[in-house]
Amino acid sequence: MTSTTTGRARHTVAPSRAGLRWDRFGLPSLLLAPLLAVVLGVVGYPIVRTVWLSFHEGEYLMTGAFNGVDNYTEIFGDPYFLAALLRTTIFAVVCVVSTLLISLAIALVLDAGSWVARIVTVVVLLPWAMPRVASGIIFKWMFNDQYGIANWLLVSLGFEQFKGYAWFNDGFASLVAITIAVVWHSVPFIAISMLAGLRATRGEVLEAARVDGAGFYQQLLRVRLPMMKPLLVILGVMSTIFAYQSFDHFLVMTTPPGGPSHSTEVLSLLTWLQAFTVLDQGVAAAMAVVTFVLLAAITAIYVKLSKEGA
Amino acid sequence: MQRPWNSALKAITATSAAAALMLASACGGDEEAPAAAGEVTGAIDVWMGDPIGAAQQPTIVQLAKDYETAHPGTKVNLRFLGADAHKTYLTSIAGGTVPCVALIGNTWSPEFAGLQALEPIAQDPATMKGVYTQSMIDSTVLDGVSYAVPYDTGVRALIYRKDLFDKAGLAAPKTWDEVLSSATTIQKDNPGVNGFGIIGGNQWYWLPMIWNWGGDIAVQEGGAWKAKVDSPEAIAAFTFYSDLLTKHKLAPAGAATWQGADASKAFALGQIGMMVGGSWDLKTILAQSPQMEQQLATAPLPAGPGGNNDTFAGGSNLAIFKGCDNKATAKSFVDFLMKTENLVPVTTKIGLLPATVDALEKERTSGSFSTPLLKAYAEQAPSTRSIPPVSTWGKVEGTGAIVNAMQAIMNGQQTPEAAMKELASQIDAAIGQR
Amino acid sequence: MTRKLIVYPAMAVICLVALFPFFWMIITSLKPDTEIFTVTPQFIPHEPILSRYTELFSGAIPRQFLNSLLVAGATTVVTGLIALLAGYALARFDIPMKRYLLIVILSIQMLPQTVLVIPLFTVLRTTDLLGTYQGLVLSHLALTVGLATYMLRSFFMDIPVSLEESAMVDGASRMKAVRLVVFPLVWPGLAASSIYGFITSWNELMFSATYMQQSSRETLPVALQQFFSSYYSDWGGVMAASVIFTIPVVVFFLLVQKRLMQGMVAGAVKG
Repeated sequence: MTSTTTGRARHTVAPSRAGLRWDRFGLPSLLLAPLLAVVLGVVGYPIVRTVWLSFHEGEYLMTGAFNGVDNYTEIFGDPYFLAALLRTTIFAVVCVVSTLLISLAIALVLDAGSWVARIVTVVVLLPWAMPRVASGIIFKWMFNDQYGIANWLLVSLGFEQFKGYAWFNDGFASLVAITIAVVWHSVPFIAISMLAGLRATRGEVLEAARVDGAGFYQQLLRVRLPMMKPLLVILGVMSTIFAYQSFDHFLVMTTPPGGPSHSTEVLSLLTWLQAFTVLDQGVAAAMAVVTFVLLAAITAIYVKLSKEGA
Repeated sequence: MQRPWNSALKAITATSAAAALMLASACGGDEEAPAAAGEVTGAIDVWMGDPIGAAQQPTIVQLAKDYETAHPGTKVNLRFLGADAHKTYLTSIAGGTVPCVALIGNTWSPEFAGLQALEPIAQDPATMKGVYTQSMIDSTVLDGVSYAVPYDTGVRALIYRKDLFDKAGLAAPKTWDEVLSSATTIQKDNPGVNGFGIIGGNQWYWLPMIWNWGGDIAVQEGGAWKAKVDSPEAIAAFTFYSDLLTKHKLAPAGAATWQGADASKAFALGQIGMMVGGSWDLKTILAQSPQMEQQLATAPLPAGPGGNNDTFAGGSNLAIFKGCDNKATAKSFVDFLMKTENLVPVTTKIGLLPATVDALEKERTSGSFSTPLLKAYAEQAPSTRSIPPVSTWGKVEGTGAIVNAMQAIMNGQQTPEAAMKELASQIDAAIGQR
Repeated sequence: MTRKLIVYPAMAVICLVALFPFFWMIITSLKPDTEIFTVTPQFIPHEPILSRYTELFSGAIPRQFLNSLLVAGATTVVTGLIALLAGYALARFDIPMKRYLLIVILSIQMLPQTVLVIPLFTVLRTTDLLGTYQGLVLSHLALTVGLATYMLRSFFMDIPVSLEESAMVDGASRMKAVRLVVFPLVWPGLAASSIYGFITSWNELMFSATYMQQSSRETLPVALQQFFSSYYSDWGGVMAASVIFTIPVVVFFLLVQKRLMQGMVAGAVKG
C-alpha cells in the first residue's frame, strides 16, 4: 500500500528521493522506536539478564561468580521446587479447563441476545475489574473457617462436615479455595471473548446447518466450535499463562505465603520468595528460566495444535 | 453514537491530566534539598514493622506530628508494614531503598547489622549499661558493636477466663499437663468455648516450649552453632502442642494457621477459655470487648517437664539505617521517641514495657503495669531466654521454617521426628557454619 | 420457550455469582465487628457504620490512592502513545520481518512476570529509579504495551487506507492526514487499550510490592497486602480499603465498557 500512496502523491508534489526513503523507512522506524525501546529495555534485556544470572551466584541480590549449572542442579534436587512445579501444572490444568468450560457456558447463555443479555454481559465482565488483591482478600474471608459464608452455605445445604471446616489448613483444600477465586477472576475476560467468537460464527454455514436439521449441540460441536478454533487456542494460551502466573491470590490467601508447610507453593510465589526473602537471585533466576521455558513449550504446543486442525 | 465515547474520553483526559499534575507536584515535593550534614531539617522515612495493636498507628502518627511541630522544617514520612515486614526490610536493604529510622524486631537487629545496613549506635555496648534493659542491649549487639536503640520489651503469659475457671473450681494451670486437663474441662463444661487458643501461624507463642521441655533451639559447639530441635525434648514439646489441636481438639481446626490476632479475636468474642498471649494481646482483647476485663485473669506461663516456664524475650529496637541521607534528623527523631515522656504513652497504650530503665521505673509505678491484670507479665519477665544471637538467624525466620515444621506436624504431612529433623538441617544451614 | 426457561435462570445465577463478592465486600465494610463475626451471616447490617471509611481517609489511604492513580494514569497515557504510533506503523507500512515483530509483541504478553522481576530490580537499582513513580511506570509498560499495540493495530487496519490517501491527495502531509482523518476514527481502540492498561497497572502487585519501598509512595495493592499484621486483624477495615481500591476501576470500566467490549470483540474475532 505504501507504493500506491506515494504513487498518487506524485500527482501533486513530486517527492524527492530522500522523501521517499523517509516515508518508507524513516517514518515507520520513528513510529516504532518507542515500542522497540520498551521491548528491548524492559523486556528483552531482562530476559537475557535473567538467563545470565541463573548461571551465577547471587546471594543477597548481588551478582557473584559464575557457577555453571549449580543453580539448576540445586532446584532440580529440591523436592519443594519439584512439588511446586507439579502443583502449578495441575493447578493450571484445573483452572484452564474450568475457566474455558464455564466461559463457554456463559457465552452460550448470553448468545441469546436480548436486552437482558446485554446488561448481564456488563455484569459478567465486572469481576475482571476487581483488583486481584482485593478479590483474594474477599475470598479468603468468604472461606474463613468460622465466619465464612462458604461454610455456612455448605452446612445449610446439608453438608454438616463443613461446620468450622478449615480450608487453609492443608494444601488441597487451600488450592480448591484459591482455584475458585482465580477462576472467578479469569472467567469474565475469556467469556466475553468467547461470546464475540460465537457471534462471529453466525452466518451462512450455521444457517445451512440449521436448515439441514442440526440440533443445538450438533450446531455447536460440528460448526461453531470448529470455526472458533483459532480463538479457542488463543484463549487457551491466555488462560494457561494467567494460571501459571497466579501470584496475588496465593500471596494474599495463604499464611505464611505458600503455606501451611509449603503445601501451596507455586512457581511464581516460590521464585519471588527465593529472590526477595531468601535473597538468592541466582536460584530464583534459574526458577524463572524454567517457568519461561515451560510456558514457551506450552504455547508452542497450542500453536501446533491450532495449525494441525486448519 | 459517539456520545458515550465522548464522556469516556473526557474521563480519560481528566485522569491523565490529573496524573500529570500529580507527577509534577509529587516530584517537587520529594526533591526537597537534602539537609546539610548535621542540620535537623528536611524529610525522613520512618517504618514501623508489624504493628502489634490497633492503638500503635494513631499513637505514632501523633508523635510524628508533635515532632514536626517541635522541629519546624522537618517532615516524618511514616509507613506501617504488615505481617511480612521482615521480607520488606530485606528487599529494601538489597535495593538500597531503606528508611532512615525503623522499629525492628529484636531478633532482626543482628541480621540487618550483619548485612551492613545499620548505623552503629555505640562502639562499646558497655556504655549503654544501666540506661536500657540488659537483655535488650544484648539483642542489638553484633561483634561487639551495638547497632540499635532498645525501644520496648514484651513477654507472653497465660490469659484465661477466670469466670469459667472459678465456675469449674479450677485454678490457673501451673504446668502444661494442667493446661491440658483444665482446658478439656472448660471446653466440656461450656459449649461454644474452645479450651485453648492454638496459634499455629506464629512461632513465638510455642517455640519456647522446647526450653520448657528441657531442650534447646541451638547450642554452641566449638565456636559453631548446632541445631538441637531434633532432640527428644524438642520433638516432645512440639508434639504436645500439636496434640492440643489435633488429638484433643481444644481449638478450632483453623487455629493451625492462626496468628496472634486470630486468637485474640476469638478470645474477645468469648470463644476461648485460655491462651498464651503477650501483654499487647491482652490490650487487643480488652480493646475489642472491654467487658472482658471482669471475666479474664492472667498468670505466669505453665512449666514443662524440664522444670522451667521460660519464654522468649520479645521486644523491638529503633535502628538508623546506613543508607539514610538525613542522619541528623533521624538521630534527633530517635532521641525524641526515646524521651521518657514520649515512650511511656506508647508502651502503655500498646501494652508493652519500655526498654529504658528510666521509663520502666515510671511504667512500673504509675503506668498500666501496676494494675493487677498485668502483674503476671512483670512476674514472667525474669524467666526469659533469647534465640541464638547470630546474624544469619533471619534466614530461619524469613523462610518460615519453624512454622512450616509445626504445621507439617499438625496436618499430618510429616511425622514429628521427620519434621524436626528437617527443621534442624534448615537451622544448621542458616546459622551453622559462620 | 424451553430455551428461555433455561437461559433466564442461568443468567440469574451468573449475575449472583459475579456480583456476590462485591456485595459482600461492601456489606462487611459497613458492619460493626459484632455483626461481622457471626456464624450465621448477616446479609443486611442492622447498625451500619461509616467509621471505617472516615478512619481510612484520615490515615495514609488518600496518599496511597493518589500514588496508585498517578502510576496507573501515567502508565495508561504512555502505553496509549507508544501503542498508537507503533500500531499505526504496523498496520500501514511494509516493515521487514513484520511477522516476527508481531509475534514478539504478542509473546510479551505470555512472559512470566518472575522473569522480569529480578533483573528489573537490578536495573532500577543501578539507575536510581527503585522506589520512584517513573521506575514503577516503566516496569508496568512491560506488561501493557504488547497487547495495547496489537489491539490498536487491528483498529487501524479496519480504517480504509483510501481515507488517508484522499486527504493526502488534497495536499495534506501524511502526518496531517493521519492526525485529522485517521486518529479520530481510532479513538474506540484507544479507549479499549487505555482501560486495559489502566486496570493492569492499577491492580499490579508483584512489581509494586518489590519496587515501591518508600513511605510516601506506597501504592494501594502494596498497602492492602500489608494490612494484615501478625498481632491484630481488622477484617472490616481491610474490606473498606478494598472497596476504595475497587471503586475507581469499576467506575472507569462502566464509563468505557461499551468501547471496551467493541475492542475485545474486534480483537477476539480477528484472533
